[in-house]
Amino acid sequence: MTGDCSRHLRPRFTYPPSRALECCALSLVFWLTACTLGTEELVPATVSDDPRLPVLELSIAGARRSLHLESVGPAGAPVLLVYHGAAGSDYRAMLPLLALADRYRVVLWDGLGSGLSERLAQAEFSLELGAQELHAVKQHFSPDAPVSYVGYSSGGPYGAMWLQNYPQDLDQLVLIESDALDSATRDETAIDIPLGASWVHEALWQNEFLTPNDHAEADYKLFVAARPALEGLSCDPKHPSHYPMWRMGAAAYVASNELLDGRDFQDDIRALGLDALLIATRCGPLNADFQREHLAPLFVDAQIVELGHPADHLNLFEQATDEILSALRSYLRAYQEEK
Amino acid sequence: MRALLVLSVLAVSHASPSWVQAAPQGPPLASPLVEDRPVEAHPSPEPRRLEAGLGVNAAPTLLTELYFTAQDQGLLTRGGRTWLRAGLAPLAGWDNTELALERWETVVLSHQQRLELLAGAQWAHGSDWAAKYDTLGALFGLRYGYTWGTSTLGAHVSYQLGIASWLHFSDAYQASYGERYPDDRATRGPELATLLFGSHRVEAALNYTFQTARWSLWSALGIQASPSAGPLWDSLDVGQLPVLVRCAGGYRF
Repeated sequence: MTGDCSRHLRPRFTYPPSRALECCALSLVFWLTACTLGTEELVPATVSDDPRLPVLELSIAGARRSLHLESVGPAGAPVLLVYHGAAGSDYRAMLPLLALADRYRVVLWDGLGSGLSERLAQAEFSLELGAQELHAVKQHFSPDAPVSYVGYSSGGPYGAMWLQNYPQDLDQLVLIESDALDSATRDETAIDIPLGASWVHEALWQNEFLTPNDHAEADYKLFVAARPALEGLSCDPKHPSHYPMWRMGAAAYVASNELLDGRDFQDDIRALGLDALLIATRCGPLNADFQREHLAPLFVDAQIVELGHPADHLNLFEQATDEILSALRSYLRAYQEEK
Repeated sequence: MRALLVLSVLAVSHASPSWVQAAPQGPPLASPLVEDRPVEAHPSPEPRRLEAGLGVNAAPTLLTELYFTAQDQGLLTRGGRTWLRAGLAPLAGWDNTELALERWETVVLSHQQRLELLAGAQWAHGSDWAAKYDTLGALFGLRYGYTWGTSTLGAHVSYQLGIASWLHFSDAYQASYGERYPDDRATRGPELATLLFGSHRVEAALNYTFQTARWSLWSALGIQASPSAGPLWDSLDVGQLPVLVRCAGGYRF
């Protein structure tokens, strides 16, 4: 096409040959320059592209999958699985829980398609895959003994999804500001996207510069929009908290929301007759009162620990680290047995 | 004008498969002056005119635009228009702006019908908490209009390509790269990134124009979506709102 610059012109506007060459040369230079520049890093690379990241390869649902995963603690110690909140997000905020590695083999990881773990197409996600992922991690670190599980926020429903299928995997259960296990209540606490908000228009305007053409671009767009969207969970709107994350997997986030829509795990969890430790702040939609009303009735014995000001849903691992660790050490069996 | 032609040829010769941009539809497709003439199999070239106006893009993003149009006798056929648009997205912040130069060339013209081709170039700027953005883009499209009396009903499809986008990341975004490596928790993200062909949008809409000898009103309703977004094409979570609502009013000199 670049050689046809003058072909479509009417005779009165025909370019002289020198102009046509100039046109073609300009075109060639521009596109060569553009192709040489290449695409630079937009989001942190996943384990598929960054060999420096801690990774574990597992067979999940018949396929080899790469998880961004850290495990710290004595090899023979009981295993504590730590699962992050919203699908798509990562375990960065929960790094302070590595302090429990003095008695536990603490395992933190980003779910499939989430954070810095391997990406999947949206159509590949299913509730069964999610349950099998948690079971596969458990089996890798503790094939013969049940494990303890700490789930934060949406890590509550994901844990329920796992326990629904593999109840024998669990030793002790801890939920930190867990979301509800039924879809109707989750809808009540879901984050609204106000069409009049400036951050929404910034997200729409951002399409001038990039659209979600691949995982990296979709993840970037979700990550940028998530920060102001999550600010609504702060207890002090004038000084909003921010949830520390590396990267949000857009496909996992959207797929998970669709898969969990209409799902209710309450009866299954109630039927298991479990005990649980529920940790929550005193503000925000998933606070201690919410836990008492919607989560505690599902367990035979539910202990509730309230975190003091200024902890909220987003900053609690940073602002209430000591309180959370103290509550966990008071509850988890490995610490009790030592006493 | 030759420079504009070069840009047009560049855009057409290298465009990826589909899409169009948010360019306000053009001024009236036929004027009372044209209607006064007898119907001709090969109408005479259109008269030269200037028009200035104000457009509002209500969706997907609220965008206010000031535009200038110069109508001429056409480079390739029997008529054409050159547009200069300057836009501001106030709800997204006062530094979210764009500047576009478009050429609409009439390829089929009769007393009541007109088919036009678009090629253009665009620069856009914006910012959010994570980065400042600049993009150089190209757009091209096709528009058909049928005129009766003072009204014109038409449809257009267009494709908008962000050829090169430059991102300057904020400190807060760079900090989000930290703590990834167990042996080095203090890493930071890059300051800059360049994206090539990072934005793709297709636009398809019906449009209606009402005009008098001096004034014209234009409106469009349709969809604007990213064809490469796959199942995320309508996900507001990733900034996709595939709706197009646009109107504009102009005065002809």
